[in-house]
Amino acid sequence: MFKYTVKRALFGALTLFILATITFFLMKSIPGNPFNGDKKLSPQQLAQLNEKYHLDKPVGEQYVLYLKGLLQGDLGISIARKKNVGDIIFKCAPVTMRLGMVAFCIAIVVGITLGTISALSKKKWVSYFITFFTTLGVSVPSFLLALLLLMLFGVWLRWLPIVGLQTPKHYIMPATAIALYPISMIAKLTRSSMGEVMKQDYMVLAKSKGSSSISVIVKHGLRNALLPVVTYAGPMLAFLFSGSFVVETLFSVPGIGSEFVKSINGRDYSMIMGCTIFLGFLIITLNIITDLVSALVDPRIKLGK
Amino acid sequence: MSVLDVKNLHTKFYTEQGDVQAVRGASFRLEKKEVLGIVGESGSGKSQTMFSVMGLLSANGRVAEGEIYLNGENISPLAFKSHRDYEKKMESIRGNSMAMIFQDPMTFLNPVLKIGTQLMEPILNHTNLSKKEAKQRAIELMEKVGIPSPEKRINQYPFEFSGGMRQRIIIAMALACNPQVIIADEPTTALDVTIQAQVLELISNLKDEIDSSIIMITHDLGVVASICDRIAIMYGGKIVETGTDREIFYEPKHPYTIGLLSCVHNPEEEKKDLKPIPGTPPDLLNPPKGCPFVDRCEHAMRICKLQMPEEKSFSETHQCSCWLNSMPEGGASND
Repeated sequence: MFKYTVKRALFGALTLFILATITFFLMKSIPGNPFNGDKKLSPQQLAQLNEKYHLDKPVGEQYVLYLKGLLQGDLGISIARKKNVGDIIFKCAPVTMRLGMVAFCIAIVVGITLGTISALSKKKWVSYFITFFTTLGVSVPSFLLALLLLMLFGVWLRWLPIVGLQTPKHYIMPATAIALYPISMIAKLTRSSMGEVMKQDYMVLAKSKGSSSISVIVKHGLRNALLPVVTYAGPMLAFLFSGSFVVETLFSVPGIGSEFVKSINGRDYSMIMGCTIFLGFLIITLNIITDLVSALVDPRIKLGK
Repeated sequence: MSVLDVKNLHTKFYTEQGDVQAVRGASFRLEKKEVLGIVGESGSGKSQTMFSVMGLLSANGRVAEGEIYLNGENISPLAFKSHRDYEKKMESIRGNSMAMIFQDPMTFLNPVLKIGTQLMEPILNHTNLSKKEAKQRAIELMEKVGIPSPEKRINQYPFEFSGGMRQRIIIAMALACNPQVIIADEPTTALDVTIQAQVLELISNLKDEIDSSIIMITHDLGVVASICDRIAIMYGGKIVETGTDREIFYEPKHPYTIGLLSCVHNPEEEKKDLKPIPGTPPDLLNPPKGCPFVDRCEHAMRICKLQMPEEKSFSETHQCSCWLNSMPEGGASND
């Protein structure tokens, strides 16, 4: 297990390096520069700024300089914000992650519950209704739901605050908006795998031992049915942690999602690199964790083969 | 009093194509410490009879008629006011006074739970033993069914066991609470021949050690011959002949039983060819009105198609339902 984790971490580092390289050259190939903003700069100022951020050097040299900095843990200075990129990320990432974590917990609990009910319910309309809801959930974009929620609960009913994340109450709408898609996906996954598990022979054997239906479903059924959900949940968490530009903008949440999109629009090179590497790191790490958790849930999965 | 007495059991499966009448009036008794073999080919309703008794039918299956007496108490689902009452009663019976051994050890064990956890389940369900005591009992059971180093194996998962070892675990589960009735549903079908012999030997050794009565479902007459006291032959959802092992093997009355016996290879009669029974079992979506075997029977008469024969007794233990035996001498005409 330890050996496997180390191996995966090394591969992860390699992936991250490739990711950084590709992003760096792609980013440089986009036309425009960080300084063609609102106010006009004189040629001297421009030359000065270019020199300051090493933009006057050839791209290859810039790349080497950037990697050198990166190896020392220096993500550079944000051109637009004039602040250390690392500091900016460490300020906005936790905001997104808190919101993502709330959405994740909602998605897991609600998704698994809905999926299980849908798979086990003897009443046909229950299962139809849940299928309708989950299909809606995967098709409705989060910004639409966010707008609907904002209008309904924020503007008309005035039950929930609409700006920022100051109190737990502030989390309800943005988290719901982000969680709808994962809820629906998890419910669909749980429903199909639970339906499959219920047909398995070991469920009959478990019942033949005199266990109650509930205990058979929870102890024998869910454990098996949740394997595909675990595999899905890891990457989903990474997706939630990378934040949603639209939802963050709509609810004025100072998260990394909106920061990332802003940096691309502004050609804020060091910020783009910083966000990419940070999110890449998150996704790779969560994937490794997912595989480790899968092996814990299913003893048949042998890591490292 | 019989330990288990099943009377006129009918089980139906409701499918989109119509109602499948898997069991159509099966009746049998099981006495104390007896081993009853139920023999029949695939689709004859033998497994579904037992799943009906255990209350383990799949969701679209129902007991439509009949009584099931366990120690004189009717445990047919029809005898209960609600499904909930029935389930509650059955939860206290399953794994406790009635246990089941299943066909395929590869699919009947939960792949993600430790052997120990699964083996301790019936013990924890039906006794007041603590977890620690239950584990001790589980280890004893594993020893009893011949699993080497059970202290170590108890913490392993099913995929770390071979097929034969898994079947031993399933047998151990059935033995856990010293049940009065053990129903073994083709316990050797899914195993290699050499392992089959070992598992059969285990069962026949156990049957002398424990107080349980055993119902052995099989389509293998060889299995029956080696351990059963009495045999019931099932065909088309009905029991067509019952008798002691001697009566069935030496004085078979039903043409189907005779046909089954001639399908068994006898190493002492080298030259004799095996004689398969031509045709296929009846369609239980539209079961025949008369004898279910009529289309494959070489003695079939006009009446066989029209009416189900009455059961006739040849001795206290030997009964058979066939017109050949019910007709007066000379009254039979081939048609």
